[in-house]
Amino acid sequence: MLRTLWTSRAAMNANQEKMNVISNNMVNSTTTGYKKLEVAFKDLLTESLNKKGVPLNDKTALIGTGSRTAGLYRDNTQGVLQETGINTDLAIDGEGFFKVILSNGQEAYTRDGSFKIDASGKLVDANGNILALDYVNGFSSENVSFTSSNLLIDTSGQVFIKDGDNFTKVADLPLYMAMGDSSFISIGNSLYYPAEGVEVERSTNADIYQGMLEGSNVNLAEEMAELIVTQRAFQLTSKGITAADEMWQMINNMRR
Amino acid sequence: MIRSLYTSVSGLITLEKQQANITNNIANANTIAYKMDNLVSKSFDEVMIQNRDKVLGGRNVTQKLGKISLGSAIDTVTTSFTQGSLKNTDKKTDFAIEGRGFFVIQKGNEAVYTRDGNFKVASDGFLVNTSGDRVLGINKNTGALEAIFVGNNEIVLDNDNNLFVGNTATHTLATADFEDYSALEKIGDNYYRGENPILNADVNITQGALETSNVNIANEMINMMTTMRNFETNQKMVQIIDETLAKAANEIGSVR
Repeated sequence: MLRTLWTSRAAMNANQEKMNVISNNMVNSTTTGYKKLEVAFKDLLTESLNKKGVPLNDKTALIGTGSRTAGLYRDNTQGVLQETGINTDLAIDGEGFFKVILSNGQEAYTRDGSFKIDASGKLVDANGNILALDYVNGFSSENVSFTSSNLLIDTSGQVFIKDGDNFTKVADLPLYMAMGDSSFISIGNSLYYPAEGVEVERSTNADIYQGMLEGSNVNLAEEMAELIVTQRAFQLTSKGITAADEMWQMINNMRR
Repeated sequence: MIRSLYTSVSGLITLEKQQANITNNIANANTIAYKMDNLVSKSFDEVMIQNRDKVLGGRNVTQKLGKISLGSAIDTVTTSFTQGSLKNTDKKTDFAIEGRGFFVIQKGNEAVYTRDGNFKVASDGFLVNTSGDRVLGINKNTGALEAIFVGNNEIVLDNDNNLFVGNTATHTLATADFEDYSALEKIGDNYYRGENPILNADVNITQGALETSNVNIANEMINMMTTMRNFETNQKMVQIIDETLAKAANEIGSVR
């Protein structure tokens, strides 16, 4: 009876965890640059049936003990690009992240390209973190001041300042990437840190589009279907608890 | 009378384990490539019943009454290796096996087998499964069984299980088959342990899909209800025997 209870409990926990992931994806279905999380189930260790008091023929017989969720992975497929017409909105088409400098000096990475221009003429994200640029031709963050009308960025990431009909290249906008599917850890606010021991390198196979934003890659219909499946599975496994409970009750009431 | 008590109890224990097994199948209804377990119960070996009630020539003689089985026991637990249906994921790192066979995974310093082809690329560039264990392949040049380095490249699998990393076929995805599936042991995390694998057997792998669990939840639900009611009958028998015993001990034998 106990085994049935614990098995059901493990499965309910696993389904609950999956439900959390699905609802988090659904909530972020309109978050710029959001990459959906995925989780899969695995079976648990098996247990021998060969115990005292159990009538058993095959002494090597094993019984499973439930299921659990395996590690979370991000699905890094491309989100849809949406035209906004705002000069400071940038979208990445391909692999890569923007690098931003947090207020405490740390570096973080993001796919959310909805940048603004702050009072000192720098490109910043919604939380005021500064977009990292590689300045060229003697320009630096001190002597370059962007405005929403003089900023021009081409698909290869070259940043120009427009003055009438003249374009002056001031910087390159670098994109970064790392090997593997779990190299970046989310820290909230659409920002990521590289996982420990991960080497971040420059990304070359991506284009930058000005005046566009990358939508979330969450497919609501898919998530809804997953939600229904998970919810029903949760319900089903709870039946195991009910059954165990009723059986136990029978045992308790065997002798009144 | 006492004998029938033990007969009923053996049924109770067996049914309880049966229920635990059904719950485990339900718990893994969404586990990738899970193969359902069946708990096979059997009756105890029959024994000859005899008494010495027969009187022949003024002496009691042995009389054989016939054979009887004194309860039920667990025979063994078998795994049903029927094919689970394939679910399309369109991910390059997802693989599903149709028909016989297993993938080979390096777990610690032992090679284990799985049908769960939900693979990822680790931060160090190697192909791993969701437990973080490396997927093994056979090097095209050296013929060695080793982990597969993917890096930032795309992987493509052809019909002969050759894995193209980038544009070159570096490895053959290692597969194993077994003569006797009943000797395989489930060890959790969707892994199987087995002796004498037939490496590079003819295994049919589909890229961009995952194999779902082969648990039929409707069947399991019915089994759960049947087991529960069986259990109820058995405990009723215990009560009836108890009442009969009470009668024998307190009413028939009472001296007023």
